[in-house]
Amino acid sequence: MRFDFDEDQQSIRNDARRFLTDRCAMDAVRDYLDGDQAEVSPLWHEISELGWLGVAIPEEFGGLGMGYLELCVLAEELGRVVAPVPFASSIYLAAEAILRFGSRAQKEKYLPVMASGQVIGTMAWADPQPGGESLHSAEPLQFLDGHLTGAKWPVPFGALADIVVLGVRNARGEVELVLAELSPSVDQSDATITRSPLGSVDPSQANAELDFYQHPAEILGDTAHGDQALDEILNRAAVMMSFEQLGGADRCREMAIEHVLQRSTFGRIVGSYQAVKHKLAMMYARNELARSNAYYGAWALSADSVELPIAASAARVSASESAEFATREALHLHGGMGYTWEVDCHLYLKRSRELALRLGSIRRWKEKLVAATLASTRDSETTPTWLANS
Amino acid sequence: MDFSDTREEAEFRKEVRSWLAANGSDLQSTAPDDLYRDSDIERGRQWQRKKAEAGYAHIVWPREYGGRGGTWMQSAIFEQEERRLPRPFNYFSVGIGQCLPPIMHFGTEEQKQLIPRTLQGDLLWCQLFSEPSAGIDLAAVRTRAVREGDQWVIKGQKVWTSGAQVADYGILLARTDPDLPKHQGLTFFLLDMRLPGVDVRPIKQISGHSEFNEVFFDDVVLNDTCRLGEINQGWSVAMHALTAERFKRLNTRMPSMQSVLQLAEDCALEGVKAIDVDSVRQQLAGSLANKCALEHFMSRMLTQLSKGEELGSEASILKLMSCQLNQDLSAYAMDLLEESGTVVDAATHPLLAELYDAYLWTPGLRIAGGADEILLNIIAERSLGLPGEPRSDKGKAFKDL
Ligand SMILES: Cc1cc2nc3c(=O)[nH]c(=O)nc-3n(C[C@H](O)[C@H](O)[C@H](O)COP(=O)(O)OP(=O)(O)OC[C@H]3O[C@@H](n4cnc5c(N)ncnc54)[C@H](O)[C@@H]3O)c2cc1C
Repeated sequence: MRFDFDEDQQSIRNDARRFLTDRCAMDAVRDYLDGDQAEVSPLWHEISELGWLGVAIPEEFGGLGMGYLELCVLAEELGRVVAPVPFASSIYLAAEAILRFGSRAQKEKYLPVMASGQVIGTMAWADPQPGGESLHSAEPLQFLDGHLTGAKWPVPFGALADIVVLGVRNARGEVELVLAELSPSVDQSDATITRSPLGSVDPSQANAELDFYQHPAEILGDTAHGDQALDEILNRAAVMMSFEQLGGADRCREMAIEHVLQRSTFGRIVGSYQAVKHKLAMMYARNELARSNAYYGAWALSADSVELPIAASAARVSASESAEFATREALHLHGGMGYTWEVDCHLYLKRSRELALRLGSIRRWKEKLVAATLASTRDSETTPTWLANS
Repeated sequence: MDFSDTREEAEFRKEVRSWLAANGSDLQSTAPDDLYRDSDIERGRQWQRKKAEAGYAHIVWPREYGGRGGTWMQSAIFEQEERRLPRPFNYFSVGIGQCLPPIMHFGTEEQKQLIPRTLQGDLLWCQLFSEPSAGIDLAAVRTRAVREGDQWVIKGQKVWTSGAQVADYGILLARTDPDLPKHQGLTFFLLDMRLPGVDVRPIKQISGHSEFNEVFFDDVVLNDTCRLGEINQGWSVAMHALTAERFKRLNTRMPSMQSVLQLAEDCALEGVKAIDVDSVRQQLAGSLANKCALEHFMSRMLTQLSKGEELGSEASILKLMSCQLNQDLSAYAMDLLEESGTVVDAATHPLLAELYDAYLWTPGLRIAGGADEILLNIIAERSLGLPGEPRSDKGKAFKDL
């Protein structure tokens, strides 16, 4: 057993961290927020050139074919700097969906250009909740005879993505995965697609609504894939996203420590007060436990383990909860400064909240964790070792 | 990132499994209500003896002291496999976990003879550290050791000493020079609990049973050969004992997670199986995520140990967070039984009795071996680099405090 990243993976981490530090990657998120959100951040092109987008995409489809552990390492580093890039939507969601369930032709067509960053993907699967309103069309999205009609929202980075994988409900209420290019094709002049930016919990993840009218699209894969495939895509993405969440949570802890060590009140360093020390120690403990579950998820993902549904849910629940705690309390420990736009705390707070919703809420993942765990205990052969031992 | 055993590890696991199948099949677990029955202790000794004979009593220590000269990973494998069996309460955990490591590190060859005897199940130990006015602030101990020629005369009182009623030996922290600052005037001894002048009196604890005791020393005479480490250097020896304990699997006394899930399958709430109630599932999921994280956190520490790295203070996270989990989960599991949860009877509902035991044990574990607040201080100061606590006792002679 070896429950840690190996030396090569550590050196990928060190290089990535050095690059992002030298590049002042924190400027990228502020530039993106100040600029046109339909333009992808220049950071995207830089990390594409470094090959980050393709680390887990096989070489035959234009990637580096390294693996998911390497991708998890990069996800954590991007999370540390709240990178304003569609890494999750394009890589762990859209590219993964195509890689796992796409047809050979779809893989050949899209994966190489996604690995190089030329084409940006996104994925939208959730059914909208009542209360929110579609901007243009009250019609639920339909996929009929190779064409999409209706609205889908929220679509992360929907204003700038080039292709989208959609979860669309068919007449029987089942999910079907559908792949669409988002530029209207010239020869079908009556087909339209309208993109409307929506407000976002984290504006650097630029949500949009997509409204389709007779827009050409195709089923993902040679045969229709449904709920189970969606579930698998979400499990895989949840592991990688948990690293992104963890990166943010850990960075918040460091920022809070830096701040309380240089600030004094009543003649004492703020970091010497026990209430403050204990809060930070607890933040560290929670992050370390979340890290332990994220590692479990990374292992399950890279080993294609049957434990993936359990590992992904555990990673997701711990990451969402520890990031919520760390981002809230880091802001708090900065005092009034922490409440300003200039200090970075709010960027992490919003990102953490956004990511906690992005693949479904903590409630949803807790339910998945219990269901998957109970299913595993029906047979002692499938019960994970950690559970059998505890 | 790999959970699978290497070829050597897999072979070792196979060997352990077949040994346990041949030797451990008739083991019974100790009833939690009264841990110190003679017959239970005897069964504990027998199991320890069997493990020692097969080289499983302390896998990473050298053979000449009763170990096996093996790896941390083998030690973890043995523990994983052993944990699947019902087995006696581990009466040797204080001895092996806390008392022997400083002997191995600081002991003379004569003192080290105690090591194999303990591993073989002959000697039980207790830790004579805490006193009425020295708990968290351990360096405040007042029990005096006064030198007389080649001997030391011990006078004073210890308290909360777990297992002293059955212990053969104790590790003792005593004050040898009150003129020095408090951490500097302490010396560490190995004390034979049968010596004249040692008086052990049980303390009734919240469960109604007596697992810990008061221990009085009325001019107990020790030979200087019982001193472990240098005179007035006892603090660093004591720290060695406390940190050696870190990676020991916690004696958390908690029913398994699976038994709690089963309880939720068996209980009905308003006519619905508890496990089908959404709020129950949400609550149990929280515990599952934490349990899963703690187990994997241990795997990370184990990986660190087997790379030859020292464990940092972050190992305190394990005790801190498992106590929190177990205190919450034992109470919640009892809640699933609604009012029937009030009837504790090991004969009719053994799981409830175990849950109640866990519920009553965890508050003690949160205090013993570093209370929550102290663990948080340790993490904050040593792992995160935050300043130490302000203190007014620094540099002053102990007698002037
Ligand atoms: C079940 C059990 C078994 C035990 N077994 C043994 C044994 O075998 N051998 C042995 O030597 N001892 C044993 N102990 C004793 C244990 O180590 C002490 O009880 C512990 O160190 C706390 O000391 P105290 O009881 O004096 O509490 P105090 O030190 O008075 O602490 C009281 C409370 O104040 C808090 N506190 C104290 N100082 C601070 C501070 N600076 N900052 C924040 N909070 C603080 C503590 O966290 C605690 O909650 C055992 C205790 C228990 C409960």
